[in-house]
Amino acid sequence: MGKPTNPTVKKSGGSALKRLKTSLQSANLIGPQSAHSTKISKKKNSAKRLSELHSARKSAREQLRSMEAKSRESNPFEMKFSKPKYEVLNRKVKGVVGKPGLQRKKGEELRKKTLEVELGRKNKESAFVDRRFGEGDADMSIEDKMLERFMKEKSKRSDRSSTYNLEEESLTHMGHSLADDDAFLDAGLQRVDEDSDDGQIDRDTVKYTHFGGFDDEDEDPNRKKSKNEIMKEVIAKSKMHKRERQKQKEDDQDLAAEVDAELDDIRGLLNIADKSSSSDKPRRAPLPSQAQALAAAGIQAAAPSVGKRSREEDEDNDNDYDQFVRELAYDRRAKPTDRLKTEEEIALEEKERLEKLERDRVRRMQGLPTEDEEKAAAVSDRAKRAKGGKRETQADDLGDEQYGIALDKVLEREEEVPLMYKDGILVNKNVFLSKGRNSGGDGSGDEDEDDEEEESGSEEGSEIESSDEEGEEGEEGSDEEEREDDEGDGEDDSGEEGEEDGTDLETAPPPSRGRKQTVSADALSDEYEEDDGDEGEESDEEGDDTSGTASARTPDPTAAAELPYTFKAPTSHADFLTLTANRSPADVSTIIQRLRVLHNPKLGGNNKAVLETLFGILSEHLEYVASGSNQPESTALDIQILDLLSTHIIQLSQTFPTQISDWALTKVSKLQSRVAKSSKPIWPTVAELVSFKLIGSIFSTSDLVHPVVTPAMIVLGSVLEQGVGRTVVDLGKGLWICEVVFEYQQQSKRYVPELINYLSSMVVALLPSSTEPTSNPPGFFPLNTTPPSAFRIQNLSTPSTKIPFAKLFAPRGKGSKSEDVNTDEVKVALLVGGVQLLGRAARCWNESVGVAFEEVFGPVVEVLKGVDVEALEGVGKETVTTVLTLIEGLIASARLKRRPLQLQKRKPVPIATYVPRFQEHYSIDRKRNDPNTERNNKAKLQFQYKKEFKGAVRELRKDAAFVARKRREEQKEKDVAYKKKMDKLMGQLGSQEGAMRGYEREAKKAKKRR
Amino acid sequence: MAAPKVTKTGASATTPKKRKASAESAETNAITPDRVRQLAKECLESATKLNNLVELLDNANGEVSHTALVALQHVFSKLLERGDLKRPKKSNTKSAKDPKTKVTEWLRDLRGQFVAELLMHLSAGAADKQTTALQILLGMVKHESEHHDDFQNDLFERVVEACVSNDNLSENVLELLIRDINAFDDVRYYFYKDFGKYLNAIVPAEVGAEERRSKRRKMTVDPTKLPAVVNQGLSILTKLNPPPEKDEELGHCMANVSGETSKGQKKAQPALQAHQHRQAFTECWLAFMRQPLNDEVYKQILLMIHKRIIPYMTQATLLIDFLTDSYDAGGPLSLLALNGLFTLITQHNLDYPDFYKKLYALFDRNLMHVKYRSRFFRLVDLFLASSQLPAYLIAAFLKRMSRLCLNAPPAGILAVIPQIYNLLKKHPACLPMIHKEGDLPTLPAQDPFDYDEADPMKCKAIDSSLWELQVLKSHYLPSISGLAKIFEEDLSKPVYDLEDFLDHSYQSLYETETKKKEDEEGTAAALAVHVTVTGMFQRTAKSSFWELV
Repeated sequence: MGKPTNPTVKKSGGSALKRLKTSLQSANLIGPQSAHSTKISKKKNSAKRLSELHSARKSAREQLRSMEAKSRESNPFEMKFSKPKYEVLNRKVKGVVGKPGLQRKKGEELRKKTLEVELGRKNKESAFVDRRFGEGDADMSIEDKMLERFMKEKSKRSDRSSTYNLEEESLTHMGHSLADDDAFLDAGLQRVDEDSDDGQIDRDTVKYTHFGGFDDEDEDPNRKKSKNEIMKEVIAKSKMHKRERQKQKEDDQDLAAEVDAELDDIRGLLNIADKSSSSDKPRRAPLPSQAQALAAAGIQAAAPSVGKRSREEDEDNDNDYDQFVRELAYDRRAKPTDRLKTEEEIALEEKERLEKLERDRVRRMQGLPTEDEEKAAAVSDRAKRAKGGKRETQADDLGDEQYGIALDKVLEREEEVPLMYKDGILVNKNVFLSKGRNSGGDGSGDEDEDDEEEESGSEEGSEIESSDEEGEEGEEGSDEEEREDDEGDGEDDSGEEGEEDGTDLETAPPPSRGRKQTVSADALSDEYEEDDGDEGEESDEEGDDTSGTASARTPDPTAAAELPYTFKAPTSHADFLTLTANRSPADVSTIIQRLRVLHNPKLGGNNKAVLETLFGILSEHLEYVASGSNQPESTALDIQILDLLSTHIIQLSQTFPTQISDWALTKVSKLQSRVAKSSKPIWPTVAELVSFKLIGSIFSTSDLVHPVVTPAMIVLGSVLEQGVGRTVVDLGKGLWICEVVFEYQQQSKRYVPELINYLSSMVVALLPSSTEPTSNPPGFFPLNTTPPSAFRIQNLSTPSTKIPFAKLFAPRGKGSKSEDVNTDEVKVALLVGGVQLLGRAARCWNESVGVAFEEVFGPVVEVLKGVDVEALEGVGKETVTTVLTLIEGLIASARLKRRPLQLQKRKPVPIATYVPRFQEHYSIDRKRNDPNTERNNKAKLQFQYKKEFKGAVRELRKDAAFVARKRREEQKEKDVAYKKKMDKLMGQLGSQEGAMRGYEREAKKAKKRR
Repeated sequence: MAAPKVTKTGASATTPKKRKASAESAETNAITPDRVRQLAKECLESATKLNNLVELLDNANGEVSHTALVALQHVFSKLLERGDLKRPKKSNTKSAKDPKTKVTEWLRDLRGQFVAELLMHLSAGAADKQTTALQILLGMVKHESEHHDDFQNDLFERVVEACVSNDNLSENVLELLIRDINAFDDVRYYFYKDFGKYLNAIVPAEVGAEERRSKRRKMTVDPTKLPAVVNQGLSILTKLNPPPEKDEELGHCMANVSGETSKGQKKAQPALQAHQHRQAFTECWLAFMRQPLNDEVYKQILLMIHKRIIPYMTQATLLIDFLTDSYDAGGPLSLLALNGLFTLITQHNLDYPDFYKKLYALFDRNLMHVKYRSRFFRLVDLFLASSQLPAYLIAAFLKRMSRLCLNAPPAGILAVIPQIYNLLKKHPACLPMIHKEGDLPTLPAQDPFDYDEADPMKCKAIDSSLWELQVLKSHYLPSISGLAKIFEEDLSKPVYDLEDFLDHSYQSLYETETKKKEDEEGTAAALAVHVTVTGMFQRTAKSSFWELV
C-alpha cells in the first residue's frame, strides 16, 4: 500500500480524527457557529424550526457526502503509489498513484448492474437462438444463405451415398451415354435443343415440367425465389456444365484423329524403315481411339480394313504400335550444333586459354593457390559428362581435353554423333540415316528404301567428301597450332576423322578412299600407307619447324625411300638403338614422331603404355647421347639430337606429367645424394647438365614452391656453393648451371646469391696471370677455395667466340683431352659468357633486388673493373664495357630510388571509443523506441494483447468471486429465512401444545373437582 | 725410435761369443713353435740351459717370432720372480765378479735386448707384430710393477715413445693402448707425464732445452717426425679420460700401491694424487699446444678446448696465449677459438680488451660459408644476449649480418634472419633500421654505413636501414622469402628459437622440400606453358653465349 506521504495533508495536522474535525469545522458543520444557529432556531416556532432543521441537515449531509468524496480522493490510506525509477522533472507519468478502493467500488457497482441482474435471471427466463447457417452473417444475401443451407443439407445427406453419385461419371446404356439426349427420346421427354441452349430453361420446359410456370409476378426480379425454383436452376446449371464437358471431350477426340491421320506423313518424313510401312499393306491399323474418331469424322478409308481385320491382326498392330512408341522414346533426337568457328574466334579462344594459364602461373609464383574451385568444378563436370553421356561439346571444339574424352565416347557409341552442319549443309546426314536403318532391327530391309538410302548416301557422300576436304584444308592452320601446344589433342582430329570416315565406309564404301580406310580406328595399327606417312611428316614439321623442316616438307627422295612408315614399338633402349642405327638426327626425330603418331593413346589399346615406355627410352637416350655414347669416335657431343629429343620429351610430358616429374626428381635426387655424400666438390655429369636444362623447359619454374624445381634449385645452389672447380670443364659446368639457374628464375626474378658468388669468383679466377693474385680480391664471394693458377688467361686479347658446348663437354678420354679445351680461347669465351650472364642477371633482378641493388652488384662492379678491358678484343671488349656501364647505371638509378625503410608503417589503429550510442528522437516516455515501425507495432500489439488478456482474466476472477459472494449471501438469506420460518412454526406448535396442555390440566382439574 | 737401436747394438756387442754358439746349435735344429716352447721350458728348468735364451732371442724376428716373444716374456717373468734379475750390488762390480753376478748381468743384458726387440717391433713392425709387442710390453710393465710395488716408468716411457712416434701405428694397437691407459689411473698419469716429457724434448734446443731434456737418456727426436707425433698424440689424447677431480676417485692402479710398500708411506704416490694428475695433464697439453700444429689438429683442439681441456687444467689461464693467438689468426680458427676464449672470460676472469671489435671483425665474407657457422652463431647469440649492450654495437652487427646474407647460402641466411629479428626485439633502439618514423624524405638516402670500418662504433650502422632484408624477400628459396617478410608484419612474436634455424644445410633443406612433395602426393607438378614447343637449346640459342646450334 502507498504510504501517507502527501505533504499537504501532513501540514494540516496530525491524526485522521483531527483532520476530520478541522474539515467539518471549516464546512461549518460543527463548531460554535452551528450551536449558535440552533440556539436561535430554538426560539422560533417548532414547525419552522423543523423544516429548517431538515434542510440544514440535508445540506449538511450533502456537504458531508461531497466532503467524503473529496476526502476519499485525498485519503492517503486509500491511495497506492508506485515509485518511479527516475524522477524526471516536468514529466507526467500515468498510474503513479492508484486508488484501488475506488476502483473496486466502481467494479462492484458495475457488476451489480450487470452480473447480478443476469444471475438473478438465471434459470428463470428462456431465450431463442437462431443457429441456422449464415444467420449471424450480415454480408450474405438471403438467396445465398438459402443456397448454402440447401447445399449443406444436401452434402450432409450425400456424404454417405457419394459412391453412388451419378452426377460426376457419365453413365452408359448399351454403349451409349445416358447423358445423350437420344436416350430420353423414348421416354417421351422432349429434347432440349442444344443450339438454343443459353443456360436458361426454355419456355416449353417451363410449360410442361414446371406446371405451366408462374404468373407475371414471375418477372419481378425482386421477388424471392422459392426453394423449388432454386433447385431447378441448380439442376439446370449442372446439366449445362456436363454438356460442355462432353463437347470438349469430343473436340479432343477429333483433334487426336486428325493428328493420327497426319502421323503417317510425319513418319514418312522421318523416313522410317518399318516393315509395316511397305506400300502393299496399309501401314498400320488405326488405334481404337483413332478408329472411333475416324468413324465420328465420317472417314471411311481406313474403316473397312479395320472392320475386316481379325482380332489377331489387331493385336499384332497394337504390338507394332507399342514398339514404335518405345522406339520413338528411345530414339536419340538429332540436335543442331553450333556453327563452325571462324579463325578469329579460334585464335581468341586460344589466346584466352593461354591468358588463363598465365594467370595461374602468376598466382603460383606468388604462392597463392590456383583457381582450384574452377578446376574442381571442371573435374566434377567432366565426371558428370562421363557418367551421363550427354555431349555438349561442339563440332570444332578443339584444343580441349574434354573433347578428347567426348570423342573417345564417340568412338565407343556411334549413336551420339550430333548433326553437323557446314556451310549450311548437313555434314553427316548419313549418320542419322544409317541410324534409322540400324534401329530397324533385322537386316531384311525393304529394297526400295535401301535404294533410296543408297541414292542419298552416294549423293551426300560426294558432298561430304568435298566438304571434308575443304574442311581439312581450312583447318590445316588451326591444326598446326593445336599440335604445337598439345600434341595429344592434335591427334584427336585424326581420331575424329577416322570415326567419321568409318561411318562413311559403312554407308557407301568407295574403294578409292584408301587413306580413310587405313585411318579408321581398327585398321590403323597394321599399316600406314603413304598418306599417313605424310601426315606424320606434317606433324613432325609442326613439332620443330626450324630443324629438319626443309627435308621433311619437301621429302628428300632418298630419305623417303629409306625411312619406313611403321615401326614396331621399341620395348627397351637397345631396341631403340637398333631402330635408329645409322640414322641422321632429323630421321631419328621423324622416327620418334611416327612412333608417337602410331601409338597415339586416343587410338585405344595399350598405346598409352607403349608411349610411356617410349618416353622412358627417350629420357634414357638423352642421357646416352649426352654421355657421348652414341658417337664413340667423335670428340664432340651431338647437340642436334639432344635438342630434338628434348622437343619430344617436352611434348610427351604433357601426356605424362607424373612420369616426367618422377624422372626429374630422380635426376635431382641422384645429384643431391652425390653432392651430400662427397666431401670433395662434385660436378654434375653432362647428362645431368642437359637434364637440368630440360627441367627448366618442362616445368613451370616460376612457381613459389614447386615439387621439382625447388629441390632442383637447392641442389644446383649447393653445386655452385662449392666454388670454382679444378678444371676448365668444371668452370664451364658451373657457368652452364648458372645459366640454367638464371633461366629458372627469369620469370619470377628471384635472387640467387650463389649465382653472383660463382660468377664473380669465376671472373676473378680467369683474370690473366699478369694481374697478381691478391689475398683479398674484389667482390663478396667466399674465398674458401683457391682457384688453380691454370685458370688464368695467358693472353686476354684472344678473340672471344661462343663457348663450344659440344667440344667442352665431350666425353673425356675419347680422343679429346682436357688440354684441348684448356685454351685461352675457351677461357676468354667463359669469361665473356660469365660477364654477359652477370649483365643479364643485373637487368633481370633490377626490380626484385630493388633498394639494395648497390649492395648486391657493387662488388660485381669491382670484380668487373678488375678485367682489363683494353686488353680484350672484339665481342669480349664490347660485352664487358656494356655490362659494366649497365650495372653502374642501374646502381645509380637504384641510389636515386633509395629511401629509408618504413617496414612497420601501417594505418594507425584508431583508439577504441566508448561513446554511447545516440538514438535520434529518443524519448523516455515512449516505451518502445524501436526504429523499425513494423516491429514496433507488433510489439505494441503483443503488449496490448497481453494486457488485455490479463485484464480479462482478472475481471473474470472478480466476476467469479462476485458471483460466489452473491450466492453465499443468498444462501445466508435463505438460511435466515428458513430459521425464521422454523422458529415461527415451532413457536406455533409450542403455543398449541401449551394450549393443549392447559386444556388438559383444566380438564384434570375439572375431573378432580368433579 | 733411435733409442732402442742404441741399446740393441750395445747389447749385441757384449755377447758375441755365446750368440755364435747358439746360432750354431740353431742351425742343427729346425725351429718350430714346439721347439721354442721346449727351449723356454728347459731354460726355466735348469740354470745350465739359460743359453737357450740367446737362441730364442735370435728367433724373435723370424717365423716363430710370436711364440718366441711370448716364451721369452714367460721366461723373463719367471726369472724376475725368482730374483735372478735383481740388480747386483754396486760394491761388487769393481771386485772380481763372481759367476752369479756375471750371470745376472748377462741376463739383464738379455732382457734389455728383448725389450729393445719388442720396441723395434712396436715402432716399425707390421700391424700384428705391433699388437703382440704392445701386449707383451704392457704385460711386462704390469708384471714388473706388481713385482716391484712401483710403477715401472722406465719401461713404459719407452713404450709411449715408441707408440707416439710411430706414424703408421695400427688401429688395434691404438685401441689396446687407450684401453689400458683408461683402465688404470697410474698408467694414465704416467702416460700424460711421459708424453709431456717427450713433447718437451722436441722443442728446439734454444728454448732452455737443456733442462727439459731427459737426464737419463738422450732424447733426440727427429723433427721430420713431428707431424706424425702430433697426429698420433691428438688421436690418443682425444680419447683419453680426463683426470679426476678428487683423490678418492683414484686407486685403480696397475702397480700395487695399496700402501703396504716396503718404503712406507712417507712419500705419497703421485699416481694417487688428483692434483698430480691434473698437473701432468696440464703440462702434457701445454707441451702439445706448443708444437707446430697443422690446421686440422688446431681445429680439433679448439673444438674441444672449452669442454675437455680447460675444466681439467690446474691453471686455465696458461691457455690465454694460445687462445689469443688463435683468435687473432683469423678465419675459421678465430671462430673456433671464440668458444675457449669465452670460457676463459666467463669462468676464469679473463679481461679481454676489444672483444666486440674483434668479434665484429670475424663477420667477414667467408663467415657464412664455413663449416662452423652454426657454432659461431650460437656463440654470437650468447655474446649479444645482454640487453645492456649499446644500440650502436647491435646495429653494427645487424647491418653486417644482413650484408653478409646477400652472398650467403640459404642455410646461412636462415640462421641469420631470426637472429636479426631477436636482436631487434631486444633492442628497440635499433628499430629505426627497419622503420624510420615520419614522412619519407624526397631525397635519396645514401647509406651512412661504412662496411670497411673495423670499429663498430664508427661504422654508423644505426643511421642506416636494413635494405638487404628486402632483397631476401625475393630469394629463390620459399622458406627464406617467407621468413624475410616477418619484418613487415607486427613484431609480435616474442623471439625465435635459434636452435630451429642454426643447423640447416643444403641437404636438410632439400629433404624438407622433397618431403613436402611426398606429403601432398597426388598433385602433379605444374608444367610450363608452351605456345610453341621448341628444343631446349633453340629456345635460348639467340641470347646464349653457348655454341649450341
